[in-house]
Amino acid sequence: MGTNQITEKVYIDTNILVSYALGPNDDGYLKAKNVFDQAVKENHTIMVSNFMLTEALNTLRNVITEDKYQSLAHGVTQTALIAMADSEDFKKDIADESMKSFSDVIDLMTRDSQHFKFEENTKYDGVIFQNSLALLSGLFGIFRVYRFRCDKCEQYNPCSTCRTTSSIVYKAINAPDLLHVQIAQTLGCTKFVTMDKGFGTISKVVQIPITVLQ
Amino acid sequence: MSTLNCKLDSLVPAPSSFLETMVNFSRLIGDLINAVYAKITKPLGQFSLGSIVTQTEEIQRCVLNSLSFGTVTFNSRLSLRTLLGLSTSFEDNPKAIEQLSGSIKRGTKRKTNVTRLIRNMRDYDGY
Repeated sequence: MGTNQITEKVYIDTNILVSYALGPNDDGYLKAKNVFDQAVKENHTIMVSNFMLTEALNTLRNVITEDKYQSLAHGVTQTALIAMADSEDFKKDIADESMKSFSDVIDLMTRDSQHFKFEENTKYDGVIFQNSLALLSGLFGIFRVYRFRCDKCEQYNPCSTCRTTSSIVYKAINAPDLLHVQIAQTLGCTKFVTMDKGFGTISKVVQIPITVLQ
Repeated sequence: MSTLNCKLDSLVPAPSSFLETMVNFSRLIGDLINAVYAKITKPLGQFSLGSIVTQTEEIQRCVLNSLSFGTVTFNSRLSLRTLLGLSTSFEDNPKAIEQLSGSIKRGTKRKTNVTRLIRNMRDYDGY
């Protein structure tokens, strides 16, 4: 752009931030990277909500727990896993590592006042919950059928007792998604960016333009 | 040469120090107004001196509004850093957005799909 004039105030979904910070080992990295590259190129302001950061920390705890689980040898017994889950060392390990990762991310973001803005003492009207309920009551999601899969080796296996191979689940936009959108609007953002295709279902019924990265 | 630079740096306050001072000063004013409001104006309000209450609230609002956008955004960054125990003396770095890419160090090369993971979290999908 050549000037420091802010062109757009963009709200990023949690998946964009965490994927970018995790790097190329995350499936969505390249799509997330485009958002940040564009912010630099076109001098966008990325609006960071406390709600998004809260979710990001929880996501990192999940990612690191999953990493630890995957690093275990195959054939680990339930008794061994319960002993590990109950261990204070294991808990401390995950807590420290995820907090360190989160702090590193915040350290970098807070140093870049040109591209990141953080909310402070924003007053949220209870109407945002009312709006979310109104939106959700006017929508209905989809049903998906998933095959049973081992979390460890990722092989598909039927139930060893009843031989059922799959389950049916209801998938839809949910309360946290709608709250993100309402927060983005409250913060005066001009665009909402996400990698979650589910947001496509509400893009026509909310005020803020939603970009779902393909 | 680098030693000389270090000495000079230590004599000149970093840009963040000035902002930090401004933030602390504004907080001091805010605290003072809150104290006046709590100790004097609010108790007087019950004797139908509502206009004084309103005026004090107006002063408080003006002080907050008079803070520049830069100071307010610095304040929010400072609050977040304090919450996480990060240093409150830091320099602005417009390249940090690029350094954020892949900044999380992991002991594994396992592929993740964070979008799916967050979707499952939001769907309360779990055991």
